[in-house]
Amino acid sequence: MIKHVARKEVREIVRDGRMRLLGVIVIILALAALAFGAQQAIRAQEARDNAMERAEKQWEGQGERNPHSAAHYGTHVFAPTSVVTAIDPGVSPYLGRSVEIKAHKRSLASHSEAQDSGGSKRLGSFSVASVFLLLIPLLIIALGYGLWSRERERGTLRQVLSTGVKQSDLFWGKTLALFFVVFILLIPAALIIVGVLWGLGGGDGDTLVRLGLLALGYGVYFGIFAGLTLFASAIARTSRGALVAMVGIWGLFCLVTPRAATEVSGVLEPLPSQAELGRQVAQSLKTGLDGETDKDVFVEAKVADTLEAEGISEDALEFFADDAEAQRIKTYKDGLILKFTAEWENVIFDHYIKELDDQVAAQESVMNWVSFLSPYVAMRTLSAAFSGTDVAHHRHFTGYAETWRQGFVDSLNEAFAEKAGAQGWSYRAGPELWKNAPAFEYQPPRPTYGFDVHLLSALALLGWLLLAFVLARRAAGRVKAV
Amino acid sequence: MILQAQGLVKHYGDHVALRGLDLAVDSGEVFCLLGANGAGKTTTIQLFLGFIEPTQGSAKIKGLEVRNHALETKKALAYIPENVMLYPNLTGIENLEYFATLAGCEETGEAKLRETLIRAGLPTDAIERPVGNYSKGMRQKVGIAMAIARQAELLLLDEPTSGLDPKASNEFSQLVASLRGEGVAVLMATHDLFRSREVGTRIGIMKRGVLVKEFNASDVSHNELEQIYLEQMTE
Repeated sequence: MIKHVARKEVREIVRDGRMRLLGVIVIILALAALAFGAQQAIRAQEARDNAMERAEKQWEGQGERNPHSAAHYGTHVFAPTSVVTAIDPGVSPYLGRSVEIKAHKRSLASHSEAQDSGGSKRLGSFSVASVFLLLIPLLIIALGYGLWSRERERGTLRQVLSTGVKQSDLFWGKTLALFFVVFILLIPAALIIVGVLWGLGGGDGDTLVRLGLLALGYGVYFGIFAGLTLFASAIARTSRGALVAMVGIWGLFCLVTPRAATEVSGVLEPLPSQAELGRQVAQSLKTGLDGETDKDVFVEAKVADTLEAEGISEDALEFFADDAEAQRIKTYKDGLILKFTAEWENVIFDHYIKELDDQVAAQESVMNWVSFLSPYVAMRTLSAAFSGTDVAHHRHFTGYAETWRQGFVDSLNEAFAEKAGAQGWSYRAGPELWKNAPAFEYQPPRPTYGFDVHLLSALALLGWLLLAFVLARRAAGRVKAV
Repeated sequence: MILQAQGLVKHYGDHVALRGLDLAVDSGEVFCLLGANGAGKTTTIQLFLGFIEPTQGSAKIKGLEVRNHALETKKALAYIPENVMLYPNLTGIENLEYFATLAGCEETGEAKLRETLIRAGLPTDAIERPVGNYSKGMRQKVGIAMAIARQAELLLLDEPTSGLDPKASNEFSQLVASLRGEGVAVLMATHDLFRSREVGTRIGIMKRGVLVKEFNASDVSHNELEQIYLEQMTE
């Protein structure tokens, strides 16, 4: 019975021309978004490869240089790019994909597309995800708003209900038809997307898992809109009423709630401005986190403690003023100064970045809760997470980059302290040291990391699906012939 | 009895649409309900369809209370309203197949459905055409075909010939008479005195929710029927 009802609904949708028109629109939009996304991904990959090669060449080809000067000179590290970013670039156009590594400075990620593209990026990027998040729900609404209401309007519902058919069979038949039509419309686009990503080198296991998670997530998301559309169609007096109600709900979910939630999270968990953060960091670098400790006093005390613990007397420096040993000790002391200065700075940087991260995480937490108000917010969060382009992935990368920076700078300072000896600041290390610097071997989180960070959003999405179908099923059971 | 109403009462808020209706229709009978607009004819049919529930009394089909056995009782009947509403983008045969399937006749083959449509009087060349282009008479014929395909034991007709031209109306009446001959029970609400005399076996006149007069169709002539009707309406 369900199959027969579904077949009739599909026939109607196909024959009234809606499917052809919407199919063409979906294909055009999805392909345009994919072409755009793929082009961006290729460009980003090329830029990253070129920049990495250039950074490596510059680092290894910097010639002979004092190790600490080399730490000042620094280098860049780059987040790995995945072809899945062609589907959902997430926050990467805004937060950047590379981090500058140098002594005395913790850099935020840079070289974002938004920085490089004037103000136009602020309008939001056009991507496959934006088509799926915003336009496919409209397509579902356009296909499904009349499934019950049009039957009521033209009088076929009386005829249908007079046959003694179960309303549950009608409901599942209409649901099946809606899913089938949406599936058929999306299949060509999905196959092309997978094909293009495969062509871009995305045939690895991680990419396939990410694509699978995205397919699953979007399936649930579309199911929510299908359920809500069936619900609106069943309770609205007219098709026009159902359409207006669903477009209103779409606007509320996809346009109003995300904007309002962003504003609310900004009010509840305000972030400091870049200038304010810079001022606070600069102040703390001078006077410590407590505002009372002088950096030089701290560093000198730590150096003195270390020298004393190692049995090295400061007086010996005076005594051996012109001696090579005195110079070696002085160099060693300078090395310790660099080491403890870096230690001091790291504590300050870690503190402020952690504070910033906590505030961003709190904002994200607000958005995760907002997922219970809007399935769009839930799916947008999960889409970026499954694509590896959300804030959590970004934080994972920058966290690793900072840990690596500290080790990298330490290793150069240690090389200076241990190898400069009597040469002091005129010591020059060679390519050997640059080549042996710790390798940046960043491993991105596994594809299911999104669930760890955004479990609430995933639960909200499932909750929405359940709610939508409970509402739709109950409304279908209450549909009256008169 | 295929159809039985006992003390049926229906209130719509303060308005009383039916005031204790009693009637019965057996196999091979065509009971024509006559009456002015608002007399309660359509309400009676909707009660037997289970579209609305009685305030009081009982509506039974084949001995089953409609409100308690909504699906089972519908399996026994076919409903033809004033305008048989069909899916305009589907052909006549597709519409028939769909409604027959909904009614539980899933195994009816295409040849049988085609034959049914032809028996109902639908032109052969119209069978494969979308019903969006059908005349009202053709749609009513598809409605009759639905009843035939379902092998309904009871036909509920709500002003089925209203708006049909005399030829189409006559064809429709002949089809109803033919079904009556096969033992189908028919309850027909109508304004058409002529057709009710032609096709009906019994006639009831309703006024303000009450069956004020009931008699055999064969006991009266056309003129007498008209006179009785007008008398009841002016009283």
